[in-house]
Amino acid sequence: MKATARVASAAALALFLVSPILPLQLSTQTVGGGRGDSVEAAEQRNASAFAIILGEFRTNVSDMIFIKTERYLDSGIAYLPHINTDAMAQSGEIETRRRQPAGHDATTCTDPSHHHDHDHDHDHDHDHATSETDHESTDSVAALQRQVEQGLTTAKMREAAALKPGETTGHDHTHEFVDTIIRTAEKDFRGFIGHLERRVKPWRDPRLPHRHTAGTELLPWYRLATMSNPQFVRGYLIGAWWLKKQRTEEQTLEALKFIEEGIANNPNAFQLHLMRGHILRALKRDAEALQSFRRAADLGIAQRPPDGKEGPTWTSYNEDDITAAILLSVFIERDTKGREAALTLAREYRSRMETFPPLDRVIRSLEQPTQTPQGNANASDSP
Amino acid sequence: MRAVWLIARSVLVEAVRRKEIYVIVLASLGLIGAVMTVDFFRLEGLSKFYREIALKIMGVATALTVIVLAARQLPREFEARTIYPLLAKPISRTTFLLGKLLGVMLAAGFCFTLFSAVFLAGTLYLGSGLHAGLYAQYLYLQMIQMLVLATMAFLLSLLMNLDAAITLGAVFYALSSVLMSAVSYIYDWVGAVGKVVLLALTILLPQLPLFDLSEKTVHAERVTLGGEWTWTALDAPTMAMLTAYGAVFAAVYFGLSLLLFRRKPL
Amino acid sequence: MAGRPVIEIDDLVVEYGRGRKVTRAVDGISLRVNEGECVGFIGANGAGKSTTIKTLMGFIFPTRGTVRVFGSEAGTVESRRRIGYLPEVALYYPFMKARELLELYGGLQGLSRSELRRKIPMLLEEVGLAGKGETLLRNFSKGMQQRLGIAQAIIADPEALIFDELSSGLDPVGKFDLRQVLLKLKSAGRTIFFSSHELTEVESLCDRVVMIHKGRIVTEATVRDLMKPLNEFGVIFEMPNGREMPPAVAAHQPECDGGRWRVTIRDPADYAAAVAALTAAGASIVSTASRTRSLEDYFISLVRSGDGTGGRGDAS
Repeated sequence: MKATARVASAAALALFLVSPILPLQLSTQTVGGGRGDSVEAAEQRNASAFAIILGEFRTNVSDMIFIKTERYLDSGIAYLPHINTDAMAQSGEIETRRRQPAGHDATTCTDPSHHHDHDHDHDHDHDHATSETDHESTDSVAALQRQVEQGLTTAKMREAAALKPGETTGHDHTHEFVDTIIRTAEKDFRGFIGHLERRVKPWRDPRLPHRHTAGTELLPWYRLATMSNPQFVRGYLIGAWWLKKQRTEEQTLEALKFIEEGIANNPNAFQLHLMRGHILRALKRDAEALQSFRRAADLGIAQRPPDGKEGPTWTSYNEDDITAAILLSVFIERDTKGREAALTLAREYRSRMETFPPLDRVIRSLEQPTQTPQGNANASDSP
Repeated sequence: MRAVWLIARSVLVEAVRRKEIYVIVLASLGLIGAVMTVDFFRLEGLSKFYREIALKIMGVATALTVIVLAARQLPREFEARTIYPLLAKPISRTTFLLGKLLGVMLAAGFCFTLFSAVFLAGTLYLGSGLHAGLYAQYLYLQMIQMLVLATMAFLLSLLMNLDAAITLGAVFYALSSVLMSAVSYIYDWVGAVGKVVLLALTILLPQLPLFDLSEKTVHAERVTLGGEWTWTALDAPTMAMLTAYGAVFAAVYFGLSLLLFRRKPL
Repeated sequence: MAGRPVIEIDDLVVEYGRGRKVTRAVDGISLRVNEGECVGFIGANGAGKSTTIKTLMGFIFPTRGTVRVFGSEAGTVESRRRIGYLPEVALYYPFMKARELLELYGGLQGLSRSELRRKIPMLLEEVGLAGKGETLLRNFSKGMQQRLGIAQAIIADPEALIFDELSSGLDPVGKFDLRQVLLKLKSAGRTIFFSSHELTEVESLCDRVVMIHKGRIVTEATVRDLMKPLNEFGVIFEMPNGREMPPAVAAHQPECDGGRWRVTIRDPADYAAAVAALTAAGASIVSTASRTRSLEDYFISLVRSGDGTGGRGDAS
């Protein structure tokens, strides 16, 4: 008996000692340091029962702060966090809204793209470059150019772009697919306690339209999020975008400083280089902007799966960003050095990827001089 | 009533003269001041950030002060034997406990007054808007919450030792919001018995987040310059319901405390 | 004894603990203290003195029996209205000043602000704390705290005083001062009931003494009655060879010490008879001495005897 107990103890001890590395063996691609780094992993983490119950206590400081920024944007209203609409569609709660038709205006209040995920990630609407629909026309390339030049890569960025100077809140929109954490009266079992909670806490019926607030107030939280986690790329990305959105030179320079800090901490995050390019364009420093876009494109292509399909390490958001980086590089090359130079660059990029429909369209348009897209883009965020 | 006031005054004197209270208050005031001067990205008028941090500090620091102060009132009296000459005077144990409660509430009011002075000065300094009605209601509901916490701490201190009472009180305060959303969330996932248990928990435990109007106070802002507010003050029936809700819990906790205290041999 | 009863204890039983771990601290005592009396309550540690006094104040509750103070049930507000109480270990709020503390206690006894302003300096002077009104109590020594305790007990000029361990923590000067205060109160007709280990105080202050041992009252008598049988007469003598010890002496169990005999006799009549018998027997009386045993000696012998009678037998 004693010998058996010893063996069992030794086995238990050994198991305990190796337990930290066991998860790594299970999925090396999605788990880094005990946490999945991909957007899907983050979504899964954030949409778990544990996450919803614990709210802001559930995860690390940067995630906690990120959730706070969401509530800031919704005037304090707490929506069920990070529920992936795909998951909801699969469960039959909603109809899928992915792969929606391209071409709708980002600034329109009724724009379906505003039924977003309540996170600051890139919108899934695929209304531009990565759409699988095959619109080959000069108009579609022009639309592509407008999209990538605006740098409107998240739904919240789009909404903010619609604000007029002096406005503090955004336009009305609804959250018909996203429930609030506080139950609606019909679903609440708590009687008067639920009634009081709905009165005391920031709450509105999610089916009614409401406004998003200005993003300026979010900035300190992005600053704190990146301080607590310098690898928090999204924090740098969106924080810099909101700063740039202030439309003053001082704030745009602050945005540049912030994004450069992010690049120093995350040199391989191609999205940061892309955002740096946008900021430099806003500062009318086009030559440096081009360098940034090209750096973003190079890094992005190296990270992208050859077929560009979504996977554990590559998301539709990444695809949007790499599209923007490549196309902006090509368009700036075209506008500064001419069509041939742009075509050469485009072909060079294309040769490094198995498939890339948006670039194919641009290449085709460049090969047809008469159908060159009109209207050089400016760096303005205004649509 | 004079006896209640005299005992309350002694609690307040203790709260003011004890150094740890000063440490909590001064550290919190320092934090609020620091937040006031935050200059991220050279952006001016980041009022929500300031309001959020300041109100959070104000609420947490006062709640912890109240829990610690209330929980130790009776055990300290027993331990230091200061209760003997007091209860030898012609006062009832009810009067004594009422005096202690009033003293703790005065200390809470003292903390809020200090914090409010600094908070409002900061608000003026930053030139940011503050919904005065919501802020006044925030303070009022916080005081109701403090009443519930203080009576709960009294009861805990009579049921267990001082350290355990403080820990349990603080943990309950810290987790109350999580508890509220957790119960609400998992309700749909449990069976019939579980539903009864969750409903009982919801009804029997004080839902402290109901007394926290800080989120609306933080996020209340004018939609356009001089226009409507995103959030407005609560209506009178809601305030009355909240007051009654807090009063019921405070009365139950105080009644149970009194029951135990009156029977307690010293 | 004349006067209305201030303290009435009937068949008081106080038990601590539950189930098998019950300890009976007070075991059926009955006691009465009348108006204007000064009664000392003495007993060894754990005898039940403090338990009895705490029951009087309503701090603990009787398991059986009744306790009344000024006709009201002990522990009620009414019963404490006319009492001044000094606890066994007097500790006061360290964060308060002496003046503030007396304002608190005086206020609780219903004194007005103007009365308090007038009385507090006088009171502090009376207990030897003149000029200490603005000193924080954390800076008070144990003796100063005890003096302050006395001040708070007498601040409202109560009709009765109940002191648990009267001079605990006081230095000799403090004890002297306290005695003066108590004598003054006694002469003013106040009722005083106190427990003490300082038995000389009990002898000098009290009209009556109640001794408690193992939760039971073993002696209750006036000081004069109690002291009467405590006298002792000693005789040292040498007996001639071959002579029998006279029975009047032998009854007191003389002890031989190097050829000399020593005998101690308590009753004066026995003493006279023994001396006469020795003289008749031709004994040589070397010396005689008389001594009065103190209450303390008696108390010690009582405790050591274990049965609570102190070897006196006739004292109860």
